[in-house]
Amino acid sequence: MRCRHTRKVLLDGGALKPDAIQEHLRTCASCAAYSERWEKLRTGLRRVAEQAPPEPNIGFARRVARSLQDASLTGRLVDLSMVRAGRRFVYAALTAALLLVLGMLVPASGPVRSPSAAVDTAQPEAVAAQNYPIFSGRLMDSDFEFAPPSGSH
Amino acid sequence: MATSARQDATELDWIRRTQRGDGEAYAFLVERYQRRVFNLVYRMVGRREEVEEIAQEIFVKAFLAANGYHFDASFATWLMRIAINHCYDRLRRRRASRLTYFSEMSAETEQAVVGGSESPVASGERLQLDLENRDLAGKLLERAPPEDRVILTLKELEDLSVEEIANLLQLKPSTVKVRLHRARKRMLADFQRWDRR
Repeated sequence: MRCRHTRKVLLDGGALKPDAIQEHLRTCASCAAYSERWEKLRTGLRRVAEQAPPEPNIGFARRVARSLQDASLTGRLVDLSMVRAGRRFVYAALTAALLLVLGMLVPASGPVRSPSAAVDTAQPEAVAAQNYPIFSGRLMDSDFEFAPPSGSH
Repeated sequence: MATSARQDATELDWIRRTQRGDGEAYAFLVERYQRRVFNLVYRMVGRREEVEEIAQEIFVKAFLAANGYHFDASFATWLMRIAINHCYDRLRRRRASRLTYFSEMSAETEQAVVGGSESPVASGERLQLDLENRDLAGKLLERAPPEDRVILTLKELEDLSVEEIANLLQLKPSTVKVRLHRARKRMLADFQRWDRR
């Protein structure tokens, strides 16, 4: 808890360290190392801050003003926004088409409209006719044709 | 005070003309604030070669949004908010296209960090150590998540107070304090991974 509090004060308190924190740092090697790292990092950040930013080139403001009045810039901005809007429209249309196709496919593979379901609910004769459309009738006829006539001998 | 009032009146005139689409008046505003914007962009983005392009984008954006300025904050604050948001978006896009930070760390920096443990620290090498710390801190800043980078830049590099940051980011000071603490903590944890000296 003391280490946690010390580290919080170190991070939030800048360079000033209260006596209690100093005392803890003298007795806790881990927090002392933490403090040292933080000081190193702050030093590094100060050095980063000292780096001079690039100066605006002469005529930068005029160039900005000219670019604003340049119709082509406005055109480009409009074009850009149109391209973005167009892209969004295409994505939306593709998503809608995909959903539509999925919507059409999913019921076709379900229990209501599938061929197997139709067969299950049909009458046995219809099933037989569907399964053996060629041989069922002819076999019956053949039986009658080749059966020995009763009482011919 | 009289000069300041006169300047403010002049600036108000430029702003009103800008809001009517006067690019010439806007050029005066750009002239006045270009250094601040360049400075902020450089601190935020950290890449010298990108600063002018980003600054130009910010000024164009501000011109197109000029009618949204209602004089409830100073023009500078309003412009800086646009600049911060623009840089934030840029950082997010850059981060999204990045693989890992450590792959971006230069061989020189890695060498400096790893090799540092082997070389004795003499007083004459203090500058070298400072430069290494600067290089590492800069790289860690570049690696930081965009929201951390914005708040760390404003505090550690721009040296703004918590209240000023809160005003710029339109947050409560307490929120800024919490975010700043977390950002520092994360950065320090990252620093620890590389600081083997």
